[in-house]
Amino acid sequence: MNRDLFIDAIGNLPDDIIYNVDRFETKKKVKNRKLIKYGSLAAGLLLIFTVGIIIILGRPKDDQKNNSISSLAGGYMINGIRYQLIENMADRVIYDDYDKLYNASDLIVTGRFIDDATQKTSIMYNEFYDKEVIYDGVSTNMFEIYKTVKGDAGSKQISISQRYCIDEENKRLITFSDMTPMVKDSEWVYFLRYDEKDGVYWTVGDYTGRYPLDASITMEQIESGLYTREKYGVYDVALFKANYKNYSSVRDTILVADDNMMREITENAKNIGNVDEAEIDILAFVHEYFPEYNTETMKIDVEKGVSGSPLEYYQYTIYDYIDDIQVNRAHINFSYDGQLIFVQGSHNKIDRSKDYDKIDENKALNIAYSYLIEEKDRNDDGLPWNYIILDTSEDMNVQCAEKMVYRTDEDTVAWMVELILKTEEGEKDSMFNPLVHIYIDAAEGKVLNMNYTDGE
Amino acid sequence: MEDKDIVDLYWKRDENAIKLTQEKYEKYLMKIAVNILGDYQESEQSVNDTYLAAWNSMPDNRPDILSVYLGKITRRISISIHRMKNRIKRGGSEFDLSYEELSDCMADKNSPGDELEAKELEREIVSFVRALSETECFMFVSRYYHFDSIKDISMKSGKSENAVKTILFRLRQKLKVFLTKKGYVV
Repeated sequence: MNRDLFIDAIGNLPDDIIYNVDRFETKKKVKNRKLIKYGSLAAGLLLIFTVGIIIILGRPKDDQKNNSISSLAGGYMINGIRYQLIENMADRVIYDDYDKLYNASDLIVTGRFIDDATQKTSIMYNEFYDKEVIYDGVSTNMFEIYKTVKGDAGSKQISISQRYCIDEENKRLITFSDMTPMVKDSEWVYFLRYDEKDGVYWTVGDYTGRYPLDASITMEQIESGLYTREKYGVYDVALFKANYKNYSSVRDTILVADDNMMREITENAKNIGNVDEAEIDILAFVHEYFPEYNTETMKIDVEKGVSGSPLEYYQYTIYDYIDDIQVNRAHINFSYDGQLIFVQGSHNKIDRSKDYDKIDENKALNIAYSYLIEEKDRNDDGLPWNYIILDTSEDMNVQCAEKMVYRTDEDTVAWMVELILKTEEGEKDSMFNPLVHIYIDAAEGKVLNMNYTDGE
Repeated sequence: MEDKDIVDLYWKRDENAIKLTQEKYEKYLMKIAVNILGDYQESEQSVNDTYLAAWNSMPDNRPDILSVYLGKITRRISISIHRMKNRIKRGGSEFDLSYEELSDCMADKNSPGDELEAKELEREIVSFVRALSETECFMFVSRYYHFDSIKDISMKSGKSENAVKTILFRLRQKLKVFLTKKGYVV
């Protein structure tokens, strides 16, 4: 293609894109909102719930009319029952930038709710109203994961909590979130953060952290009123419209690009006609490289079981189950152009690696650190070494150290150390910190390979 | 004065429209022209031609965003001047540097269907740019639409010049993959 053609084509970009770019600096200043940490968010919510909900839900014994209720016209229907919708919003972290939303999430998944939500409400006596009032409500539901985009839940099902509850007595739906209730069989893309205390996941950024599992929604459809608010998962469709930019990113990076690109890559790589054949082919890879795995019991879903890797290749993860217990795992990695890069696997029953126990996890981390120091001094490849802060081993933010079979001619067992390196740029924006994988021979302690992201 | 009122003056054939446009947008338009031409006098000529083109194109057109409308005219005129001038010699401006950068994601092959391809390419570029994050979009458009310098982009985005270069490099690679997948020979 001619570069002049490109220069002319980009000259006809729509006005709204140019206008937004021209205003980029101004918008950035406006967007610099205060972020609230989770703990203080909870404290803030509690305070607002205590004050706000007392006012909202309490009913004075003298039949004083409750005019301060913030309810949306038309209420809300759940399972055919109409509830008055009571909204009480606290200040929340809202992400209007996809990258920030991504970085703030521990786990990003697609899937569906498989049950009806259960709820816990907190009630306290209020002297002014002379009655007990609800001051907090949390609903929880089980979510079945189709695909993991980021993180590892360690299970195909997770619990997700959301701050709303149903007051059956007064037929009220009380919500502290802009998201609609978690309805059985509804399908979503979720950006989640793990709550260790309760063992549940919460949505990151309230309504900016949940999107319909539907890649076909257009702005025209939203404006035409084609779908109801249940489809978008927000009480006010205007919120989804305002958040359309994030939805577009989710659509292009998770819903469309990921699946379609992976399918194309798989098909191109093996020059085969369809994804069903691709699935067979991928299992054949596993069988070829890991004959000890039981490919009969392995689970793979070509359409939904793929994940884009930050290391700029696409990776299939295939699990070997015995009675729902994951015993083996294999990774099949393809570059963007469809070339098979490498196949690796891990065993929870590490029979084949019992002779390789000379290097333990701590030694592996020390080797990784020494190797990085040497590389930093050598400074002859693509990592932004000038900016990397590597004064102590603590500067390696170790994500995991896992023993796995590393396929070389010698069929080595290796430690795979995944870590994020600190950089000067990363102190302003963690996106600049490169993610690094270092493979270390578990018997010899020799570094076999290293790959990494450049950092942006 | 609001843009809408200035556009109204153009429609009424009131020459104050040009004066007001000059007061409000000359700096913006000069920056676009200088980025492309790298020469102050030629840029002044390009911006003056922009006012004339705006005068001649309104009525008929009623731009929603006057700044972008004028900026596109300046960009087109400046590139045209630059191409004419550089049939003899190329080099020196941010346009030239941006142009050179693009060689790592597209070659200079002409194909018989270039004119037809141009319209289709426009649509693909729009879909590519719309899929970028806000920061990526800012950098990509600043560099290859406005031809802003790396330093300027760095200052406006708050990222280091090296970071800007890295992000632009990745975007060009991404564009190459994107266009290849769409069937373009790049």
